[in-house]
Amino acid sequence: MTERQPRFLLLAAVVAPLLGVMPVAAEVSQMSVKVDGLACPFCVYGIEKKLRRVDSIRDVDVDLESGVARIALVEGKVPTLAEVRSAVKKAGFTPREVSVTVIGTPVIEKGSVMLNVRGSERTYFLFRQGKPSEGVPVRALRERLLAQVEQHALIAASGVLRERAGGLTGLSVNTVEELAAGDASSARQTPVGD
Amino acid sequence: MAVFRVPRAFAGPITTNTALPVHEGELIVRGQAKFLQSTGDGTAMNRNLTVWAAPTVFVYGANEKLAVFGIIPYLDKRLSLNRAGGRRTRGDAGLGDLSVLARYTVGQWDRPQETLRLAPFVGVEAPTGKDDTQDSLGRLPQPLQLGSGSWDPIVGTILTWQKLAWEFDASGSYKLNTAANNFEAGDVARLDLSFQYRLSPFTVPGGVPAFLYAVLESNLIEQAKNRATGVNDPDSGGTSWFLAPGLQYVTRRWILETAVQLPVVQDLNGNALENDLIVTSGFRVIF
Repeated sequence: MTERQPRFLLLAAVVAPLLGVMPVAAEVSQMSVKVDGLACPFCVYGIEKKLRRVDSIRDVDVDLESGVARIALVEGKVPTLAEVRSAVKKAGFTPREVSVTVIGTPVIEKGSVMLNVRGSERTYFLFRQGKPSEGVPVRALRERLLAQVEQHALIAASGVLRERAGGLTGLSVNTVEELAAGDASSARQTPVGD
Repeated sequence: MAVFRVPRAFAGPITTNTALPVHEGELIVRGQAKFLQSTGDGTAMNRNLTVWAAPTVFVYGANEKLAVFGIIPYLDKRLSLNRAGGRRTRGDAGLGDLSVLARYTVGQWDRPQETLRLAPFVGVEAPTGKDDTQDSLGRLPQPLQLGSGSWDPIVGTILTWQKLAWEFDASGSYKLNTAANNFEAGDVARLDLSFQYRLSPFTVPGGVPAFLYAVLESNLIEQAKNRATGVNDPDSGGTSWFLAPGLQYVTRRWILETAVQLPVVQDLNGNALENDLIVTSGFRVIF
C-alpha cells in the first residue's frame, strides 16, 4: 500500500461542500476480519473495544458462530491491514483473513496492476486468490484488468488483504465487478478463474 | 480446627481458574458471596463453624498475555463451641488478607471457534487483614483471625480448552504458608477441574447471544498440618475432594453464576472440622 499526501483530499473536503459538491467517500466497504480463538460471548467485548479504538473504524459487529467481525468504517477513512490485525491481537485473539470490497480504478505501476481506492489515498496490489506470485497475477485476471486499465474503468474488487513484500498491501481477488462510470445498475460481475 | 481459606475468586469458571484472555487495558470486576458451614463435630466441644465471605476481585489486562489480579475479601467468621461455663461463639468480621497475582499466557493455540491456552501464575497473599483480634476469652485462635499475619506465596498453572459448545479448565496450584504469631498454617496444594456445557442456545444464531452453561467442577485439596509454636497440630490438615455443580449465564458484558461445593471425600486429620458445603454466587462485569 502506498501512502500519498492527503492534502488535496483535505482541501476538497473543506471546499467541496461550499461548492455544493460532497466529497466522495472512501470506497472500501464490507470490511471484515476472521478471528480465531473466539468461543464465548464474554470474549467478544475486547475485540469490539480494540477495533473501535482504531481511528478509521466506526463500529464493529461480531458473529460468534462464524468467528467474523464485520467492520463499519468512518466515512473517508480506511484502516491499514496492520491496524486491524493489531487490534485483534491486543484483544488476545488471532486474526486471520481481512476481507474487503473495494471500488476504485485499476492502474499500472512499475509493471504491476494496482487499484487506486476511490476517495482515498489507499492503493492495493491486485493478484490472484491464494497465489501471490511476485508482481504477476494469473494471466486471465491480468488480461481482464489490463483491459479495464485501458478503459479507465471503475471496478469493485472483493477479496482478502495480504501483506506483500516492500510494505505493499495486496488484495487477493475473488471477484471483480466492472462498474460503468460509477453506475452500479449496469455492473457486470466477473468471477476470477482460469 | 479446619483452616478456612478464601476460595478462589479470580476464576473464569466458578471455583477454579481459567487461562482465557484479558485484553490489553481491560478491567474486570468480580464479586462473590460465599457461605461455608461446618457442623457434625463429634467431640465434646460440638463445634459449628460458619463463614461468610465476600471477595472482590479486580482483574486488569496489562497486555494480551499478562493479566494481574487483586483480591480483597470481606470475611465474617463465627465458631460456636462448648466450653466450661456454657456455649460460646467466637469470631470476627472485616477485611481479610489482600492477594495479588499475575498470570501470563505462555501457550496459545487458536482455531476457528476454539482456543487452547496455557498460563502459569504467581502471587502472594499479603498480611493486610487484622490478625490480633481478642475477645473475652483472649486472643482468637489464628484460624479465626481475619488475616494470617504472614506473607504467603502461591504458584500454579492453568490449562483452558474452549469451544463454542463447552469449556474445560484445569488448574494446579501450591500455596506456601509461612509463619506469623507463632503459627504456621499448613501448605495447600490444589487440583481444580471445571467443565462447562452450553445449555442455551442449542445452536448459536447470528450475532452474540447470551449463553447459559451447566457447570460441574472438582476441587481436590491437600493441606499439611498447621504448626503452633513449632508443634504440629494433630487436628488439622488432610485431603478434601469437592464436586461443585452450578449454573453460569454469560453475556457480552457480564456474567452471573452460582455453584455448590459438596464434599465427596474428607480425609482430615484427627478432629479437624469437616465442611458440610460451600455455596458460591457471584457476578462479573467487564469494562
